Amino acid sequence: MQVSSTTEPARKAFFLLDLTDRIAKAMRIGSGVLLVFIMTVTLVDVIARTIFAATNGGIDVTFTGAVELVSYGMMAMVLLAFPYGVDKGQVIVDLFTDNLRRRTKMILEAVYMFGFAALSSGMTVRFFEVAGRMRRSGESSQDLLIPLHIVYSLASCALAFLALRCTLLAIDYLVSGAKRP
Amino acid sequence: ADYTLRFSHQWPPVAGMQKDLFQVWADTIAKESDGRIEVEMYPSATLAAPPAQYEAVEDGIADVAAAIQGYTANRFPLTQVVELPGLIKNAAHGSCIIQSLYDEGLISGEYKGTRPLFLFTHGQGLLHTGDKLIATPDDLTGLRIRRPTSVVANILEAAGAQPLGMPAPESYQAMQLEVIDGVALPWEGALAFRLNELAKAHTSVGDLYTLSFLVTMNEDSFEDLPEDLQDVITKNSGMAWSEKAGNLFDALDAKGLKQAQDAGHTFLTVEGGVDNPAWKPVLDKATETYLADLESRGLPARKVYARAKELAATCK
Amino acid sequence: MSAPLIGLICVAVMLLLIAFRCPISLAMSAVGFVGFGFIVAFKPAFALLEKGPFETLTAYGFSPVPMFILLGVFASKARMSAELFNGAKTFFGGWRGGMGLAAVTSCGVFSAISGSSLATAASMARVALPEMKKNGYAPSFAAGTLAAGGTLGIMIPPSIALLLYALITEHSVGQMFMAGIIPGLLGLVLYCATIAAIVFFKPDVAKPGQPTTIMEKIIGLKGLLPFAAIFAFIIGGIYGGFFTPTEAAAVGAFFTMILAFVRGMTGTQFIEAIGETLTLSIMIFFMLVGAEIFGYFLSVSRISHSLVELVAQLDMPPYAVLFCVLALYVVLGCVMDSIAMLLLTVPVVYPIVIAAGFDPVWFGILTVITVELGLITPPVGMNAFVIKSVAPDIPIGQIFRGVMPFVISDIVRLAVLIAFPSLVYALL
Ligand code: NA
Ligand code: NA
Repeated sequence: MQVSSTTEPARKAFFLLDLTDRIAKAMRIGSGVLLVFIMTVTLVDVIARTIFAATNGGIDVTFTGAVELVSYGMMAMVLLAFPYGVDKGQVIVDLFTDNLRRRTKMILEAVYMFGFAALSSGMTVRFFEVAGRMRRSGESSQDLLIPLHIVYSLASCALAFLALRCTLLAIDYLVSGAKRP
Repeated sequence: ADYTLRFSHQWPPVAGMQKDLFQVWADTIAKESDGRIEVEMYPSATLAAPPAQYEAVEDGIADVAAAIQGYTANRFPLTQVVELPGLIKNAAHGSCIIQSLYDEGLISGEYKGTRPLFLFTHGQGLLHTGDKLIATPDDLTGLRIRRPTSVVANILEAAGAQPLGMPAPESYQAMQLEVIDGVALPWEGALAFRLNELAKAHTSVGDLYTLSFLVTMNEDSFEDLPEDLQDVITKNSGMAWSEKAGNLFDALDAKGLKQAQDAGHTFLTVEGGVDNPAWKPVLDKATETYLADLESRGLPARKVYARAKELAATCK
Repeated sequence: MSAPLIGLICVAVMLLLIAFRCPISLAMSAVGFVGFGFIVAFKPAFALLEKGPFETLTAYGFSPVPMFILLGVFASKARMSAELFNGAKTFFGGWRGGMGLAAVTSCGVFSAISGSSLATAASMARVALPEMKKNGYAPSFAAGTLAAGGTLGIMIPPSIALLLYALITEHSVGQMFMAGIIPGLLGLVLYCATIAAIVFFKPDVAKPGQPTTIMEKIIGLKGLLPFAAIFAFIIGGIYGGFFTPTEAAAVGAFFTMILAFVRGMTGTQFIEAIGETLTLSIMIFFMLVGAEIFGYFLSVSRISHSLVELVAQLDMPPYAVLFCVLALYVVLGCVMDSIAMLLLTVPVVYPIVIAAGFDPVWFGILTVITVELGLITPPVGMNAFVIKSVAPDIPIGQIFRGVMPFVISDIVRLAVLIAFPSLVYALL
């Protein structure tokens, strides 16, 4: 069992993959900002409520929708970090296969990365479909009345990038026979 | 069984709604189909989250589900007109109104994509608070009240409260931790979600609000059945079952009220209900705002509301 | 082919995939998708590809997961969990295995602000594991101690699992929390006894620490102070009605961040903290999404249903029923996530156990302990994985080996609670 992360030597640049690397890193910065955002929203909500109660309603800086901001913020945070983490943040059991040849291991890795690509492609399409359904029905979130089709469309874009990155990584594993650092 | 229908809902397996309504429906279907249809129950939202029950049927994850329309905001705006103040006398009455609106085609356009079996409402919603009775809207000022849907939120907000959205099962803990000062629930909810343990003061403002529900079926699951079995389903839909649901809610309301009475709680029934001079202006304004908002989006809200009022007079 | 049979085949395929290095999140998602497709149809299975991620990632109930990790990371940047551990270490002084005792005791203290086993294991392992390895502790012993110590998080309130049990069975959450305290402390005591026993029989897994004087021991307790401050802040905030247990995670993280800055956390360290939190959170969220999709499949496969029906048909004496249910949990726990297991099995098992005449609160405690056992049993033990993520150089096999004595300890705890149910009610 190991959390896959390797430090094998970098190989010849694979232009498109390099590009997605950079985009994935940039997305992860956004993810970090959202992490702090989630924490702050909750804190501000709690403080506003406390002030409101302490002043018997005299100072009202309360707002609605903290729960929603946290929920959708969390989804955005995770979707933005998935492309960077898909090859690094996986838990695998290496109990029985530790002695396989490296080439065999890399082929397995590539197969599973294609699996992730297929999975995230399916998710992309499905989120896109639901976005369409939401646009037609006009459904919105409960508190902030955010049109849900926008949420789904954005999620679909993030997932599409994840699918692209997984495909490129899988091809890279097959071609180069090693993981990038 | 030749056919299996997965029936999903959010109530716990021990709740009255499961035991005395959904299971009864399932048993009836099994019996009338001579055992050719089996209905598998998925209680406690094990197959779909509470707000996702309707979608689960639309997608075919469940074949049948009991859904709460208001848990998905702006998806069933015309249906939620029945949630507005002052329409219903009790659950049976509300169920008759909403089922009739559906049968007359006034709100059925909101249910394309699934095959609704029957619609119903719960009884009059009350305010359950720690120990402070709510005589006038002024008493609500600054109180954090759990509410079920955004329509109800508008009503409470108009009255001066700070509505907080959360699923009914979460309200017990929120109330216990004093994160909320009270909850908006019918007596059935106070019973099922144990709020009578924490809320000792109960204020009834007549029909302050209600909540709409439906049991609906996946189109394909229905089409896949042979005609005689489709008839069994059709026969067990519509007004007859809407009435059963309403009556059960009313019976559970009586049980919840009795529980609070036996515990020696305090009660306030606002004289005249929603027509009380202290309440009427705020509630009328909330209603007007909601209808105007829908109209501005091109929805015939006023027409539906007018018909609902007529039905309120003719329904028992 | 019946649904439960398809279900069993799919579970077998998933285990096989996992054995062949398939990432666990992918194995759960893919098998869940295909299994659901075979049992129901592929069109609705396709819908799971939206439901799975959307329901999981927008679940407000999961928001404490990254927040508690963040709290733990800040606590380590503020050297808080380190001080807690060091204080405990000084307290146990020259004892052989003293650091092991210090580790589980710290886990127990940490549990009092953490509702999740994973967060407890992650936070304490980060601090205690390097220290224990540096001081000559056998890696499997050190890792096992921390993986097991993490499970203390779920009995000592706040606890996500007890909360869920209370909600599913419509019991008072406060009552469940109170009922968990003594079994939680009992678990801590038994873990300490287990460590003492391990060290007695295999002295070479642990080294004696520096002997300390009474004065030093008392001074060592000051490591508890910043910790006690946060604990008091969180518990006071929750029970004073200022914030909910869910919000407590974020508020606690913020409070700890301020503390960390006061104690000299640099901007670079802050960014590191965010990065570490993301890495661990994403690893968990990948699996939560997989577990969600897999959960849909498990629901419709009715595997748990069939097993429970089987138990009911055999018409057994009450304690045999109880034993079978707990045995089922142990088996399911080997491959399943604890929260998913609670959600799937309790609604089905509960009526049977209650019909057999057992008390719901007491059964809830037994259930949660047994389900939590799944977090440390191979091949799928989330706590062990978390330790693995903190210390990638320790082979997973060694971690699971190190955990085994604690599994036995938990079984002893179950036996004690079954023999003396009054322990559960003492505080009610
Ligand atoms: Na805890
Ligand atoms: Na396990």
